[in-house]
Amino acid sequence: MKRWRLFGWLFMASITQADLWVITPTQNPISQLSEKQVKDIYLGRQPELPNNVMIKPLDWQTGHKTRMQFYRALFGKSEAQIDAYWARLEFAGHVAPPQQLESESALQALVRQQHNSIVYVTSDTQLPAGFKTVLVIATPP
Amino acid sequence: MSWQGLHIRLAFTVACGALVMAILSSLLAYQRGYQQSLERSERSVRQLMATVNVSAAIAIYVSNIELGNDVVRGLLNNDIVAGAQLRNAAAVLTQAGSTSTISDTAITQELFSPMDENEHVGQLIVLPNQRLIRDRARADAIAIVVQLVLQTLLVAAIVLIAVYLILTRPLTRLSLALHDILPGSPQRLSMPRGHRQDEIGKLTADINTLLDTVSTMLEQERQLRLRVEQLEQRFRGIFEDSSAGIFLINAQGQLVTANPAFLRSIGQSNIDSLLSVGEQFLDVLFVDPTLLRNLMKSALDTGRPCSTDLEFRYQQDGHVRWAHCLISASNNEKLQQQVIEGVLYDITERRQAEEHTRQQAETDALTGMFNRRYVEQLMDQLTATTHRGSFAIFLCDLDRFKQINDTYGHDAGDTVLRVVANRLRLAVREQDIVARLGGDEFLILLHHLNNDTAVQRIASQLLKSLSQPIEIDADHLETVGISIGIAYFPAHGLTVHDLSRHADAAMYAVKRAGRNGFAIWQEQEINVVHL
Repeated sequence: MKRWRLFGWLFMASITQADLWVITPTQNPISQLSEKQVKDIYLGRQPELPNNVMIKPLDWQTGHKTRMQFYRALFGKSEAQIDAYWARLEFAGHVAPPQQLESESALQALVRQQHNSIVYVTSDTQLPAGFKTVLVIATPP
Repeated sequence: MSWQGLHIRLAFTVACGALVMAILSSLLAYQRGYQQSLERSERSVRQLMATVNVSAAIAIYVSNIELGNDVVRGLLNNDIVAGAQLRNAAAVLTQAGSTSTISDTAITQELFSPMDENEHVGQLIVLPNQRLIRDRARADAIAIVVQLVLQTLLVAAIVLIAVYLILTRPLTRLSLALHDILPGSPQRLSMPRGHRQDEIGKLTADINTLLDTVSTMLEQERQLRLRVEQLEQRFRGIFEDSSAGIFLINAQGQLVTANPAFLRSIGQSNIDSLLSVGEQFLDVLFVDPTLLRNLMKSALDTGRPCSTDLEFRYQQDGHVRWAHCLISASNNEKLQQQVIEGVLYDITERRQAEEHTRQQAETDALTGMFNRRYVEQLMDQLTATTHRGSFAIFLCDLDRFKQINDTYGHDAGDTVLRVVANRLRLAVREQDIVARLGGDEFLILLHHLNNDTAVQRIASQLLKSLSQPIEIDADHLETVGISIGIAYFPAHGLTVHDLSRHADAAMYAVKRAGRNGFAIWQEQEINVVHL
């Protein structure tokens, strides 16, 4: 019985992950983005936004836990698949993938300079100062 | 080898069949090969498109021209692609090659978002290099056709060679060999090697058997012909050398042929002049052709030989001669008509001899009158029936003949008899008969005479003519009398004997009454008349 309980707990833990927040500096005139718009942005496609605002996506380093969670939740794809996608675009299309951040500290520094950038974080962390949430992505059960 | 030769005809047939087969299968193969090649090309294009699908989708998704160029140029590296175009719903992102006319041959692939299969983002349109594909398809199809035709021709050639070696060549040799063999000669066909057990072997054996049979039959025929020739020669010899005149005429009386003896008999040196007269032959040759025609008719009717004696004209001098003719009808199948065989003998000499003998038998040598035998026979015939008519007989006896004979000799007597005979002859009609019975006795037979008036007139004339003197020699004249006894048939007797007896009685009555007179017989007293 104990073994079954342990297994069930583990399972519950995996599916009860925290939601993801897509955040942007408070200075960004855009205060809300649809999931589709976020998807497009992270695949290198600029959605049409009011005042022709260009959004610059920021990404976490490859292998980052949140990154894996984000792509899984948003596209249902693995990191490798996404990297392959970008490799193709990078090689033939001369397009750079979203800039990768090493840590949250780097995030702060970068975002202060570029008010049109967006990034994603897990909802169980503290919302960084000077940021606002533009989309909440529910993690699939 | 002629154009009608077995092998040429066979070759022609096989070649034609192979050609038709090749053409038909080529058409099919070409169609199929062409279609398959086209389909293969389209498949290749689709596979190419599938290969670049992800890149194309990404390019169109992010509207990345460079990636798009990479994709369409990459496609253009394939020679079967003439042009490629990447477009979304709004506009063309990129294109390469000939895309000026995106025709209905173009292949379109719908592109979806690389991360969302439900989001349609654009199209990849590829224009296959239709000319190249067609050329290649045609080349492929032609290669197949060529292969097929070569195969067909090869098979046809093998069939031809096999048929030639196994069938035609032995048959041709057989045919040539048979052609050179004369029927009846001892030559035979040799058995073709390796064909002893098959149809050609059987044919050869059968032909040889047939040749044997033909030889045997020809030999028999030859023997038979030889025998017939010999027979014919013999018969011709008989015909030619026969001493009897043989001739053949047809039913119309036309001469068909005749042997030399016949020509000799009728005095004709050449048969041609007889042949040229045609149906007049009988009229030319025979005095009474009707006689011969009747004979022919009865020979034809009865089917038996008929013969007669008849007169013919000896052609050399036109003299009439006698022939014995034997006529028999024969059905000559060769001449397709009824032919009459005639055999003719010249019997003129025999006939003359017979005539002479007959005359000798009937006449009296001294006076040339009929003799007793003749007149008795005649009377027998006349008295056999009464319906031949009546007649009278005068039985005459000379008076004083014995005296003249004794006085002047037998020669004088003979002279007297001859003169008397002549006077009697002149005194009666042509048809009446004067006969000397012997010695100085004469008998005169007068036809159709039975009344006393006419008889008395004739008897008076007789007496009168005999009363003239007879010149014995240059110096002496003598007169003889005559006693005539007369009897009628049938009034005075129905038999020769009775008639003779009564005439005799009448004559003796005259003699008793003083000679030189006549008397007609009567039952009672015979009345004697003197001149």
